[in-house]
Amino acid sequence: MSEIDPTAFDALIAQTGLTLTDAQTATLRAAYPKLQTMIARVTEPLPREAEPALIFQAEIR
Amino acid sequence: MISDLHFMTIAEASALIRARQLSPVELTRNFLDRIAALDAQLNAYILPLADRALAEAKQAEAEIAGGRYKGPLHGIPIGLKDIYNTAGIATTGHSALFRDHVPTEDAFTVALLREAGAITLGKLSTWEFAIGGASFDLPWPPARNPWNTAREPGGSSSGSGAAVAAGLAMAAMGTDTGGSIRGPASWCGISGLKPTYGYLSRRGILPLSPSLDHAGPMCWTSEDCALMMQVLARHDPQDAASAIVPPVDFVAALGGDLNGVRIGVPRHFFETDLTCEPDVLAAFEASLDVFRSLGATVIDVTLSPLGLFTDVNGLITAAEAYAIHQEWLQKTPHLYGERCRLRIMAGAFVSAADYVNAQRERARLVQEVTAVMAGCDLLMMPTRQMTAPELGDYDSSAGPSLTRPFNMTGFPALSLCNGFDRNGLPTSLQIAGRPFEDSFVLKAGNAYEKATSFRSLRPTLAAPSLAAD
Amino acid sequence: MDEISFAARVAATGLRPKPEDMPKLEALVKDMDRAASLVRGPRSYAEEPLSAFRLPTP
Repeated sequence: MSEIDPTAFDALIAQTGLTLTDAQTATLRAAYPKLQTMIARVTEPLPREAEPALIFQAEIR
Repeated sequence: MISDLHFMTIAEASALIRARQLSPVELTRNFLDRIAALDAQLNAYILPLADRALAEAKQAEAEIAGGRYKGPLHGIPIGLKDIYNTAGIATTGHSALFRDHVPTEDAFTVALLREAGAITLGKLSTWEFAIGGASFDLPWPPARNPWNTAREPGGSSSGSGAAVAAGLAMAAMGTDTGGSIRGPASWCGISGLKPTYGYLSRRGILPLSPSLDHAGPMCWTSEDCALMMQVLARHDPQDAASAIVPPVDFVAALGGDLNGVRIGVPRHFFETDLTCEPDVLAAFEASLDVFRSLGATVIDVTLSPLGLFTDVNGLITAAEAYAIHQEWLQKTPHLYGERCRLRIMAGAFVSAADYVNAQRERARLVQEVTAVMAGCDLLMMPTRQMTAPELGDYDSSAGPSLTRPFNMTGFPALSLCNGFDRNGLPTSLQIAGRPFEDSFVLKAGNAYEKATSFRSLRPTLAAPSLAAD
Repeated sequence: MDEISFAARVAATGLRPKPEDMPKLEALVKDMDRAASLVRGPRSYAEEPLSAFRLPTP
């Protein structure tokens, strides 16, 4: 897994709306490759018709 | 000799076919000739299937002659929005990305229609992957409105709406994620039903937003929609969202009167939450008078602002659509047209938390509409706040939408023609009901259509001049 | 949200839109951000989303 571009990572951090210290940001950045690995597992090409496991129901039951 | 075969309803044609007074081959040939002569003006079809349709019609004719009549769709020529998978026939989504996509199986609904003996005339235009708008940068041109070919037919089931109104198909299948059946039904002046979520299988239809996508019929009349629903409403164990509900006789349910029916009108939707054209408003008020004359009572109801329904729908659509298209948008964005590409790309910016919260807000909105509908049997409002704009001018992502509340809730909603504006373009009425009371919604639509004369007027397309070469 | 360039947000998604797409995409995303702001805020912890996980009943 390639390392995320620092500017792109800063963008992700900013989008969370979280207020973080530099140390916290560094910790998250160090952990981010693990998250990328997990994300990679769900962004491999899936069958187009693959349904999410969560299903909307028109009636509240 | 029956004239204007192509302008008959399914109900009319099927009675003649059953009585062996009308040949499915003659009927199908009539439609195919008409497609060949007129569709260049409309671009309703991406792929006409003339040879195959004729073969199917001959088979239907032989079956009926042999005493094996299957029911009201036997020998009826229909079209399919080109996001319905068809075995061995390209299903493109009107996109260069899927130009060579040839499915190996029919969509579940397509298989039901084939089993019922319907004839497939061809694959119909759509907005690319059922989102965006009329686009001129795709491999096929956008469909046009048969009432005025300079105008939008609406979308995303654009070819379906145009073909049915123009008599280039007796019925068509559409899909509806935010209004894609009801929008073109509105601007093309036909009847289009977005059934209750879960009533019709979505399996084998190119998904846009799985928790909001609905399949549904588009026909000249609500009665014809009922005939289609009679065949289409089947549980599909391979569609996780497919509901198991007791069988309903949609045709028998059309009978009876509307005495005592309570109609709720969320006036703020179209009086303050957005601006309606005066002719649309006038047609709507006249429609309410028709329902009053049929024995119904009309009450005002209040729901959350229309913009909230629209925005929550927009977030869910964007996130779910991006999840499906992410890989292709990252690797081959040039294979999309601009409108579709940008609309789906925007979903990359919806956070997971915002998506989940949108689904939580959706739960609240469903509870709210459920509570309001404890005090009324139907909701009514215009389907679109305006009649058909110039082709290419309509931005389906701009401003509040009168159709999206019923994708959000999943409740059934029907659009039908309730008149014409000063330019001769159709206006429309939207009728929504409680979950799985689709037959009651169709009953109300049928009663309205029978009580008014708007089903007697069809668009006129000029036959191309033989000297035009 | 801290001030952040739209180009940086786009880069974080992995998308590479054409330069001429950027203004329209930015407008769409701005509208999406506005819509997202409507579903944020205090909610009961018990408030479920309407998508439910379910297993087939025997």
